[in-house]
Amino acid sequence: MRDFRMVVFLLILFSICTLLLTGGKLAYDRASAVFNRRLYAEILDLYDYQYTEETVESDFARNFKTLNIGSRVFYVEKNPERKTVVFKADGPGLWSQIEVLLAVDADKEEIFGLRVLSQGETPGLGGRISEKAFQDSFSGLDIKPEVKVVKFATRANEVDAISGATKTSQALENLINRGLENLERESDILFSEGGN
Amino acid sequence: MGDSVNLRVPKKGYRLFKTKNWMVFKEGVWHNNPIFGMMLGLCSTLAVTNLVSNALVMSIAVTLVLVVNSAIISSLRNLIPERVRMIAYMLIISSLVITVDMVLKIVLPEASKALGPYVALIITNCILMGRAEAYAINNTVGLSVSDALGVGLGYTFSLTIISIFRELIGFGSILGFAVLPDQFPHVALFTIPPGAFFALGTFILIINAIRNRGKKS
Repeated sequence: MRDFRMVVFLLILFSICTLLLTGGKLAYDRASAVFNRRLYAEILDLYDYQYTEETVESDFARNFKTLNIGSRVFYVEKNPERKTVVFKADGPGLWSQIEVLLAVDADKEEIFGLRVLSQGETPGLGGRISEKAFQDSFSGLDIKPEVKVVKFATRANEVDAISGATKTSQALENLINRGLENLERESDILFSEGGN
Repeated sequence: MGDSVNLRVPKKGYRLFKTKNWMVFKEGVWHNNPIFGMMLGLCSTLAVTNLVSNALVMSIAVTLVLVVNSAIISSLRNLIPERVRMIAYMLIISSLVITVDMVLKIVLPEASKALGPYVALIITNCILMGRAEAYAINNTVGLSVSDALGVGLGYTFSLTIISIFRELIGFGSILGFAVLPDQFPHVALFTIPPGAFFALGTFILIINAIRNRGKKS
């Protein structure tokens, strides 16, 4: 009987907590729409486009086309001289969810640029993926056959890892390659629409 | 009119500083100070005290979770089966912390970014479990809230003085405003976690010296 009471109590408490958190998460998602502006600014920054804080939305719309495919969002650059697309990729790091912005040049089959949007890795070790120098080392990286984060980068698809942060580097490599796979799957749709 | 006032106030006069609530509150701030007395929650203390602003946001988050958690647990204290009380604490604490984390991300995105995972890690902060198990589970809501407020304020006090010390020595500023002249050397050691150990140790020494003043060993 006591065991029964225990189970019932936990079930009720668990349900209440889950319900409240689900509600909270929905409200959070709605409120965080504001964060799109910050994402736009980040993308414009990555491409070195001019923008101002107030007009970031129109500045973004002038240069990029937003395509929703399934639950994924891709932003295709409107520049006719090159075929680049930028999107968010995320995955588990060592401690935290790592979220990056990945810009890919589809013609040259290389990474155009990379920005780490959020991470909570060990400060001073894995946390260094947020440093500009590390992020810049991805520009011009070959995406075929796959991106590799290694100790000594020698080939065109390899980039130097952060010493002391093997797990984080590995995680970053995985999430980039997973993002590239998703892009590969949709690339026909992206650029057929992007052309007109 | 006068009668009703007399009814409320005891003959000797109502003294805030004599109530049990106040005693419990004071105990939390000073003798049961979570950092200097109970030595709980040191991990987050070492991590977030590099800047006063970080320490303040963290303190507010912890105090808020602590008070609400104590209130919920003490009001449920007769319902929670003894054998699963820890699980119940964890469920309540995690829900509260996740909520606070989401609110912080929206209201103070910069601070939330600076604190990184440490807000979410309030879940594992021993102060919360400690107060729930040591106090809230056995006491009335009013007393538990007083206790949580006291311990929360004690945490705030401790983090504030450590962070003022570290930011002043490490960056020469307080809350981002340059306080020390430029000629004054910045000791970079105090901006990194190892420096926090030195600062914390020094403060524990000072606080314990004050606390044991007049006592013969």
